[in-house]
Parts: sequence; structure tokens; C-alpha cells
Amino acid sequence: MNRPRRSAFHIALALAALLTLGGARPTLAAPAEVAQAAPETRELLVMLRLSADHYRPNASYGGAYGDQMTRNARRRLAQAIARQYGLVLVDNGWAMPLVGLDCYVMRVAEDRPVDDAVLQVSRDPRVAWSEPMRLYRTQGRYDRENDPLFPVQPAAEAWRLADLHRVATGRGVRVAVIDSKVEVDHPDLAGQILVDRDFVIDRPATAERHGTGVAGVIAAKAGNGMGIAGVAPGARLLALRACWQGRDDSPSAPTVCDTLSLAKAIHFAIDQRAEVINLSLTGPPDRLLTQLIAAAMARGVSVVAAFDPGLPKGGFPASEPGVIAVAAESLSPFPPGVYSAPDRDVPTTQPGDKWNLVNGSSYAAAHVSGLIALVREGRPSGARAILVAAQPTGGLVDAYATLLRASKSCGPSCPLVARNEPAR
Amino acid sequence: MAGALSLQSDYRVRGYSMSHSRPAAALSLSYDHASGAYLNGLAIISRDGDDDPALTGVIENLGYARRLSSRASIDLGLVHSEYFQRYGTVGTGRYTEAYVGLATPHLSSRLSYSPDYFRHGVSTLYGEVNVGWETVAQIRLDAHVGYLDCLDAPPWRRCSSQYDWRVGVSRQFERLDLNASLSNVESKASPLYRRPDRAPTFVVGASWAF
Repeated sequence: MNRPRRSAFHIALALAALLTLGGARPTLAAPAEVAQAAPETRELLVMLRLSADHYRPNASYGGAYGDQMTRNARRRLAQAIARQYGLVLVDNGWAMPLVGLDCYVMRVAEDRPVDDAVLQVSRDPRVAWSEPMRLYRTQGRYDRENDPLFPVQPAAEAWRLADLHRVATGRGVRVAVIDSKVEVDHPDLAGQILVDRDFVIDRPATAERHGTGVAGVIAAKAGNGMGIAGVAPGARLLALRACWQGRDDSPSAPTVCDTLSLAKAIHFAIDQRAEVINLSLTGPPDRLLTQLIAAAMARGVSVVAAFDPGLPKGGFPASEPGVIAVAAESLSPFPPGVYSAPDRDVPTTQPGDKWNLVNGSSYAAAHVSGLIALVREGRPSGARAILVAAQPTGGLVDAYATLLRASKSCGPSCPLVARNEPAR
Repeated sequence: MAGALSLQSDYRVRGYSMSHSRPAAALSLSYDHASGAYLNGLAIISRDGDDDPALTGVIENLGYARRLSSRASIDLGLVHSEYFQRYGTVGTGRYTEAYVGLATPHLSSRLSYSPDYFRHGVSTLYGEVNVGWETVAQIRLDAHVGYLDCLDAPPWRRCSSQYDWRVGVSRQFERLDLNASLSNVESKASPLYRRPDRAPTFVVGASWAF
């Protein structure tokens, strides 16, 4: 028959074209880049470029442009790369369309330096870039010697919290808390959590201290007759677990995060239209996280990070231009562009339906995230929040002046007036 | 290089069955180059009457997609479709379309122009909008509306504008995708010389990506 013969010819042509191109090694334009920081784990991240969404002539996909086929193709490519360089592919990849990348985790053998593997993989033209999996640490300390219910919050006086809440409560503003596991049913947090997601692999957890504490500072319920009042009790939290508490359950056990879990959580926060992203953590600079944070800020998201004076430029991500870096009040002098907020003896929510005092720039950052939620209430999502502080370039945040400056009832002279007013 | 094998209870294109309202199997192959160029090939097999399964359709497609921003990409290309159908008599329907599309994570749209849509001299413009949203438990809902405008046709050819729609639900299980959809088309005189179905058609299918 003429028809099938002609069709077979068409298929053969199409397959030949596909196979010819498939056999050719794609030439990628950008040169590979290798991160310089010392790795802390035996894993590396390998970034493959995500092709732009396009038409696929298959009706079974319901008209959607994207599909599983190309994901499988990239996974096969990742497997081939892992085999070629003697690595173990750890997961099935995580597509991050916001930055046009598909991210794979690969493990390096014990007897081989991670940096060597990163260097080799980065030179492969099929790879956009590779970097070691890094660890980030939260900037909070837990004070167990105090009574769990401490009646005075530093922000109540220093920030005139009750006055702030007469102007705004952060109603409806989405704040992403990228941290350890938040106790979502804590009596002071129940109902405040819009989304609860876990991006940490192989470390299931119930509630953890740091995330629960940060969430409480930002958005604990106000006027409910118990515990504390969050800076923005009207805000709604995206509780995104990207960090985990050390296995040692002691208060000094560090809370750490890694590059991939943070990247997943930031990507998710942007996708979920968070207006504020709180990152109460610091660590080494990272290309993937830098791109995601830039993508967030390009969408008008306020990114707040803890400042660690012990790290160069306060550590990443506080060091990133545009990120609101928040240090402890005790820091002096304040580097330009660094703000400070209450960080000492802050009562906040803790796992097990408890409250306790905490310390550290993690909680200072949480205060500022809450303040930005107040400023953004009722404003367009892309509107920029400007902080008013003791110095033009930073320092101690004047919360009341910041909020008045943003409110319509206040003219340009507000910051000065507010700054000079005695705190009540 | 990627591929998928799918089985559908009916293979429908723009609201019309291309598999004689019978189950069909489709094999698709695809290649995405890092430059943004891409190639797709699709072969559809189904049974016509009591005959053995036979090739029902072939689609060849090449295009180029480029990101406009982190959320949007533009897409343009050519697609040639050939279907072996009975339109009263045994015949072949084929057309080539040039298209330009815009895609975002949840919404895509495409405008396609064909100078000879199934019949020589019948030029058409087809616009479509597709919406897709992943809900809970990896269940994806999608919807499609399309409008075919008959731009020009010889006086002896029947051709009127038509619109088609589809709503679907799908669930991904690793490499396996299960889907179900409801679709229909409204047309007074289709260039396919076919009457639209009186009621929307329910289609179920499965697709295995490799």
C-alpha cells in the first residue's frame, strides 16, 4: 500500500533526524564555573539546563506544554554524568524553572576530594555548573534558664508594638519562614500557618525549636490571652522546612540547612507569591541560591537575612545586594546597609505548646520580617519596603517611623518626627 | 532525547476523533537542543473497522523555544500532520501549520496558521489557550479552548469556523501518567467533512515516559 510506505518513510526520516541530533553533543555556551568555598558534605549539586517550555504534539498531555518526557531525558543525562565521573546519583532531580535549571545531587566517594569532583563535572559541556553542597547555620541561641512564659517582649517597648498594631497587623501578607520545622498547631500559632512543607530529605521531624521560635516572633497570635504577640499577627506564614535540628537534642545542638533544601524552599516561596522571605541563617556564598534570591527580589519579594559578624560581609545571604541584613543590637559599629532589631531575651513560641526566651540575630531578622509584613499590608505586592533606622545607612530600626513613613497618613517629614518621639 | 508511549481510548485532535472513535496507541520521540531548537515525532496506530491495527497518523514537528523571562517562554515552529481516515471514502488528510506560542507555568497559548488545512486551498487560523494546574496529591487539572477560523476556501469546499474545548484530569506516578478528559467541538461545516459528536466525548488514557 502506498500510504503506509510513505508514512514509514516519514517516520524513518524523523527518527534519523532525532537520532542524528541526539548523538551530537550539545554545545553549551556558558563556561563552567567552580565554587571556591570549602565543601562541608560529601555531596555536590549538578545543574542541568532546563529547556524552555514548548509545544509537544501529543494530545494525551492535555494541551500542557511541559511534560514528564524531558524530565526523564535529563535524569538519564544526570545518570550518565554520574557514571562517567564515578559519582552516585542521589535523587531524581528538582526542576527550578524560575532560574531555568534542573538540580541533581550526586555523592562523592570517601577517598576523593569533593572539590576535584566539582571541578571535573563543571568542565563537562552538558553541565551548566556544579557546586559543593554547603551547609548553613541558623543564628539563634536557646536560653533554657528562664521561665517559659516571660511577660515582656523587647519589641513591646522598643518597637511600640501595641501602637504598631493600631496602624497595621500585616493582614493577609504572606511571609515565608524558611527554617526548621514549625509547630503548626502550637496554641499561639494555630491558624497562622497557610502552608506547611518539608524540603529536607531523609530527616523527618516533628516540631523544632528554631523554626517555631522564628515563626512566633513574626506572627504569633495577638490578643488570645496566652503567650506572646507576633510583630505581624495578621500575616500568614508559609512554614517551609529547609533546616534540621542536630540529632543531639540539647539546646546547643546546631540547626543546619543545605543548599538544595534552601533552594527548593526559596523556589516554592516565590511560586506561592510570598511577599517576605525570612532567612534567619548564614553560610558561604552560593551561585544557585544567589540566582533564586535575585529572582525573588526581581518579583518585589523582601528577603530578610541574619547577619553574622564572624563571617565575611556578615555571611551569605545577608551579604547579597538588596537583601535586608539584620544584626544583633550589640553589634557596633554597624556596617553600612546593616540593620538591627531586638535579639536579646526574646520570649517566643517553642515546641510542645511552650514559650521560652531566645537570643540571636535570627530573631532580630524575624522582627524585621514581621515589620515588613506590617508595612506591606494593603500595598501592591511589588511595593518596596523602606526601613527607617537610627542612621541613614542602617543601624537600629525605628519600627514606628518605618510604619508611619509607609502609611498614607504620613508625609515625608514623618521619619524624623517619629525618630525623635520618645518611646511609650 | 526523550520518548513516551501512550494508550488512549480515543485519539482526538481539536475535538475530532482521529482513531475512528477507537482506542489508539501513540509513540512520541522528542529532542531538545541546548540552543532552544527542538524536534518532535509522533506515530499513531489504531484499528479501522475489523482491520488489523494500522498507522493512523503521523506528526512531525520542529521548532525553537526561548525564555523571555524566568516564567515565560516564546515558541515558534512548523508542524506537519497527516491522518489516514475515512471521510466517506478512504482518504488522507494532511496539513502543515506554522505556529507561535507563549507559555507560562500554568497558561499557554498558541496561534497556528495553515494554508491547506486538510484540504487544498483551505486556509485557517487556529488559536488556543491551555490552562493547567497541579492540585493536591499531584493531581493535575487542565482545560483547553480552541477556535479555528476559516480564512479562505475555494467555493466548492465546505469550511466554517469551529471551536473546541477539553477539560482533563491527570495523575503522575513517576514515569506513568494516567489521564481522563472530556472534549467536544462545535462546527457547521468542518474541512474534515465530519460531523461533530452530539455529546462531549470521554477519553481515558495512560502514558509511559522513557
